[in-house]
Amino acid sequence: MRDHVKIIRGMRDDKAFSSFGQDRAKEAIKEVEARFREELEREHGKGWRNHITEDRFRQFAKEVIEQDKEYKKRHPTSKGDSFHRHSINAFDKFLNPDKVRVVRVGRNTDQTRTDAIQVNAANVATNANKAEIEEEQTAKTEAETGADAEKAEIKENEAAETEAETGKEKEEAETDADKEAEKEAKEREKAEKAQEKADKAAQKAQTRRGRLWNFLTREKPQKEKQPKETAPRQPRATVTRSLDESSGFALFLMLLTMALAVVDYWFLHFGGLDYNIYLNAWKGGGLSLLFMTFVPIYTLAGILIIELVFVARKHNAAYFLLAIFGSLLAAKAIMVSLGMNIVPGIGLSISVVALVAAMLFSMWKLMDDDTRGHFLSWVFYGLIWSAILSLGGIMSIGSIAHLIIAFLVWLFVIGERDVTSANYWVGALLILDFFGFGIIKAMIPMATGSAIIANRFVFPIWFFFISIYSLEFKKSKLIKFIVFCVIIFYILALVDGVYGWTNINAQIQANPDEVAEAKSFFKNAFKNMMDFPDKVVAEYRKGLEQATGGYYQGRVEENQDPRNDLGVHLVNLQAADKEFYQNEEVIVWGDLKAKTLEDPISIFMSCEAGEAEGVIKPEKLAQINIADRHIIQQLEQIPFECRFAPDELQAGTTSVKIKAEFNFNTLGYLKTYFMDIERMRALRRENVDPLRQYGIDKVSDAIYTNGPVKLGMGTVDPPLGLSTNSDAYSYIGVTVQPQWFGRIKNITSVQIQVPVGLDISDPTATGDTTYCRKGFKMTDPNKEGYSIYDMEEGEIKKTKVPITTYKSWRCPIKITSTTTPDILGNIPVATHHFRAEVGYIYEIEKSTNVFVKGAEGEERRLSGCEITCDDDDGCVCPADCGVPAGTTIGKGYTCNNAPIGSNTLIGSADSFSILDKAMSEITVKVTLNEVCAGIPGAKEALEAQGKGNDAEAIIQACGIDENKIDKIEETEKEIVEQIENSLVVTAITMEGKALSADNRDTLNSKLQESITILIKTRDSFEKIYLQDNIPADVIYEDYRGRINTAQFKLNALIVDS
Amino acid sequence: MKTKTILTLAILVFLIGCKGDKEGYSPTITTKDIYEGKAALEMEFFENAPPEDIFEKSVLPIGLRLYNKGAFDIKRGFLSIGLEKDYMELNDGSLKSINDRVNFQDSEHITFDLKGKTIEHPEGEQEVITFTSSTKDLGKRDPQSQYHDSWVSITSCYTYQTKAVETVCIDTDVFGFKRKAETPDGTRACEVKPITLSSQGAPVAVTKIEGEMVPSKDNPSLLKPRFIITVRNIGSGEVIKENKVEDACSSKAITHEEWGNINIKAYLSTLEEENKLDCDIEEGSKDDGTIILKKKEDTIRCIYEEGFSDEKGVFSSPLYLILDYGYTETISREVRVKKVATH
Repeated sequence: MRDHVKIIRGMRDDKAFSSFGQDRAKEAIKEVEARFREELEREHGKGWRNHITEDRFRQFAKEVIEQDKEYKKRHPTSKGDSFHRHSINAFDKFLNPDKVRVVRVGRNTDQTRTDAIQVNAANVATNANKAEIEEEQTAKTEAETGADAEKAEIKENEAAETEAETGKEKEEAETDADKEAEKEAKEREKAEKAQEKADKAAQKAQTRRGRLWNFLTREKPQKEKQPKETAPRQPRATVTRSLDESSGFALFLMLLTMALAVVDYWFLHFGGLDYNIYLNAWKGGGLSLLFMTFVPIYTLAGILIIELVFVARKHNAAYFLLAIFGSLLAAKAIMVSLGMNIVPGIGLSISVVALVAAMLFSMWKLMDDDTRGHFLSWVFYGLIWSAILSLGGIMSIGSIAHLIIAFLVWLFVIGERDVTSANYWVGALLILDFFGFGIIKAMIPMATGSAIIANRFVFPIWFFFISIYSLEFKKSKLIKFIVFCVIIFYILALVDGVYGWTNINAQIQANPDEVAEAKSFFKNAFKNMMDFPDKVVAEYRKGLEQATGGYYQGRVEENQDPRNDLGVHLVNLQAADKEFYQNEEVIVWGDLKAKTLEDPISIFMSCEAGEAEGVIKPEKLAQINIADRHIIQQLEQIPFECRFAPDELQAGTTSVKIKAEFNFNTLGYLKTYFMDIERMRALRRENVDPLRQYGIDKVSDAIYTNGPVKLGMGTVDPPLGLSTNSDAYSYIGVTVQPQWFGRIKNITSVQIQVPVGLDISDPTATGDTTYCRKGFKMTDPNKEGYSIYDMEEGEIKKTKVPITTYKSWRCPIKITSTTTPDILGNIPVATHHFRAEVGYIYEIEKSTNVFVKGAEGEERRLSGCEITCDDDDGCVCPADCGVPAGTTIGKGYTCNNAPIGSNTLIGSADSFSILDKAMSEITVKVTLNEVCAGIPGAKEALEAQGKGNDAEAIIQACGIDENKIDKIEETEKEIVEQIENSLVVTAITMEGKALSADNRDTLNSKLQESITILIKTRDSFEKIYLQDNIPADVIYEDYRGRINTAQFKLNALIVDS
Repeated sequence: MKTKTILTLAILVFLIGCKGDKEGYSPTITTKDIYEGKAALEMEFFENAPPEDIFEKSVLPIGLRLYNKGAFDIKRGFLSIGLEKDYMELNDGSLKSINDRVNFQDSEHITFDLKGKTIEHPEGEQEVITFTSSTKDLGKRDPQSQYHDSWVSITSCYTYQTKAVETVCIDTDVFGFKRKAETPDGTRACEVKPITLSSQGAPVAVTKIEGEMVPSKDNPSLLKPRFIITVRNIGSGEVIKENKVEDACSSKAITHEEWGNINIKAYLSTLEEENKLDCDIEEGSKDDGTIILKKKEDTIRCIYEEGFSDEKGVFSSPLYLILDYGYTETISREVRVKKVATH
């Protein structure tokens, strides 16, 4: 908190200038301010305002008092003027606020002027002093005639001053007044009224007391707020009136909320929002899903950004956070809205993670307790609003009306308390209003009559809240009365109604069995509450099934024994070493565990690390030919290795993926129940659950066996009613979904088994029998009570593979009346199973990281032509790439795209640019060499090319003769190599390509240009070696010969063309 | 007072001496306890038969205790045995019982007799039944599964009867004209008011009797006592029509009229046919009434067509109510059939 605010707060009760009249107080303030300002300016110059502190002011006050004492010592007879005395007394009062009596400077009486005012203000009503009554009457008159209350106070002060100065006369007047007060009760009443006015005036004067500091600190005068316990007792009438006035908004809101309930009932029929909307939107996907997902995220982001802007005033880290988080979010927003991929890899999850991380960090590190609470309240409030809006909260007039009321109530709570409370309260009420009633309704059985609790028209929550909240904060009699009436109304309505307690109680007394029923009500309520999540899930599943055209749930069979872990698993996967050098073999090992209880499993394994493919050992696990693959009959654990040849992996951390492909079957069954339809209807009519009646408490989902695939199944909700008079219809649905990390690479078979008597054949007029929309064939009409159907090959091929999400099939079932007795058997509830078996090829994947260290000074040997070189030392290419085997390419290139003249895979344009670049560099190097050798005119020629700096640098480098010779020889070597490797090789490589006529001409021209450069180079070498200080040696001869050879080759190419 | 004493004695004599054609129904004062409670047939499995877990291809023992805790004897009751046939099958010839009151009717049904509570057997008769079932090869049916959760259920279906007797007040002086003439202080021997009952030793109970006197249309001096009788199923099972008991334990159709169907007979003063009340809608005959319970409760009106002359004054009389119905209930237990580990 800023210091000056503290000072102002500290000055609230300061009575320093209370003894001043209006005008004189102003004068005193001005004078003190001027003196204080002078002091500060003298000390601090222009920045004096920054040094206004309470301590400094105290010091200043002490100095003034000390000066006054010094003056008195020197002038003991002087009393000073009245203004001076008051100022000193005021300072003394400021420094000693608890001091009641202050010795007046130069006066004999103990009663100070200040005390006189206080006594006057506090006791005037009870004091019958005539003089004082007259003073109050004077004040009253002034107030009534429209005079400023402050004037009344000044008058009062002046009167008190006069009185205090004439103490003796006052005592006499008091005695007289006492006598008169006993006789004149009427006058006392008037005095009480005057007291009200005087108190009011005193209250205003009290507000002025902090004025000096307000003035000095340039703060706006703050509204005086007395703490409850220290607040002076106010005249009753005044309090009531003011509270009634401030209750206006509350009463207005009460009226408005009640009106909302009535309008809801008669016109709007607002029913809140159903969670199903959310689920349906989610299921539907598309724009609504996008909207639902992004609105809350951007709401949160908005709140966070606003909060961070405030926090950034104190913590610079907030700017950093804002920059990162803001740019990430903005990028995502643009990507979503424009469909642009600005930053690869930024998905929704990244945005959410960034948002949550930014929130947690800022809450933890940048916010204090108050700010954090405030921020969280906004998060809560914002999320609720966004949820409501994204669920269609503004799509109906009813919900808009409720949202407006919510906003008004929010303002109301802010007025009474603060924004944080308002956010929490109104947020909670919005939840209840828009979702709560629906949830309560779902939890309470409608039949009990208790559904009234979930009736929003009976319990208008906004009205309730405003009433109760107003009762807490407003002491209005009208509000109390309204709330009292509401309570009575509800007591009468609920307690004495049809379902009232008295009625229930009578029944309980009359029949003890009702007690059990009452108990069962609560039991049911509890059960409903516990079942609620399941209901939501069931609803979700149902909706999903409808929305997707079939998604059938299932539950994996609990694994009784960890050893019975069916399927293929990659376990104990780890790198053979903590780190590998790039030029050594990288090995990752692990164990393959496979178990099947049915068909044998054939395994194929592979491994890769980025673009590099590893080799699996033992080889039997990596046989591409299916016939050669390793077969696991029942249970096996095979250790394996994945090896990468030296230089195959890039330096750094690389993720090695091990993949295992295997065939597997998953079986599932769905238990279902059949019952005579008449019996079922009769039971349901009596509100009896037909299955529960026959001891079946739960209907389980489909159960499927352990393995990589989830096999869900679905049919109509059991029991299915059957009749001997009419046919019945049902269906069987099957869903497969990968559930391990990996994918279904292929479906090999789908088999369904239905109890004999349940027919999945297609209605056909041709006489051919097809099954399940021609997708299945019957393979066995009766195998132990089941008809077996296998999916047709053509249907399997239609399946889009690989399956990474899910795939469903559905077959309609007809149960003819003639088969009903066989299906029902001779017991009330017949239990049958639908069964399904799916065969598939599954590919599981598991990965581990390896760390590969680059070998210093050694070029990495690439194992493939498309592997990007990541070695600073360059990489050596293998055979059969664009560049010849053994060619070194630079970092960042592959052996197929390296801009090297010998690369047969690069285009003509790239080759020409390589030639141009080589010629240009050779020309520059030749000239630099001449500069180094001191050939006249070379420096100027280089400067003319705009390479004056290079010329200076080379002259600097070639300053000493020994260095010069080495430098010249080194550059010559570079030139010759560049001629051979760039010019000649590129030209020859281009010659091997089928060039167009234009390119042929261009090449010829480039060859001519190159030959010219070669001639110039050779001449330049000669000039250099003609220099005295540069001896022509064997190297020179060699270089000259090599240049001649190059020229010959280029010439030959021209001749060829 | 004299009339009241005579009436009371007459009732006592009747109650003590009432045997003959209404066998087993002897509601004497000492039988009060017998005609209390809402239980009839109670069934429970043995603690570990069937067990919670059983291996495939083994014998599943099923033990059942039956108690008739009601006041009526069960004759030819049925037990329907529900098993998942894919996983278990009942072993013929395995049925045993302690009191030999049971028989296999077929492979899925058992018939039994069990007497209800009497003074000699205040707890009612009980029977202990055991039989076995064989679990099938799980590997054949579900080759990849390690277990299968199945269940065993027993549904009982039997006829039962509720008998209620309550002293009701017959007041022929509807308007109170003769009240002062008979008693100096104006009080009556009894007062017509609703009577609340709780249970009668059966799962279906008469819970309320409200009496009223209806003047005859043809002869206003003739007053016909009429009773509104509330009947409620206070047991945990379901009521079915008396003659549909066997069907209830099979898969046969049972219509909604047959669910909750109770036959009611009402007698005033004695169980003689001449004192029978008419409980159906048709006037003039002394038919039984039929109650169809809705949400486990229903009411019926029974009227004494002969009526009483208004000369009779005020007197008490026993009202006999006999409810005949079938009752069905199910108990079940989940059994996990486990595959035998072979490796």
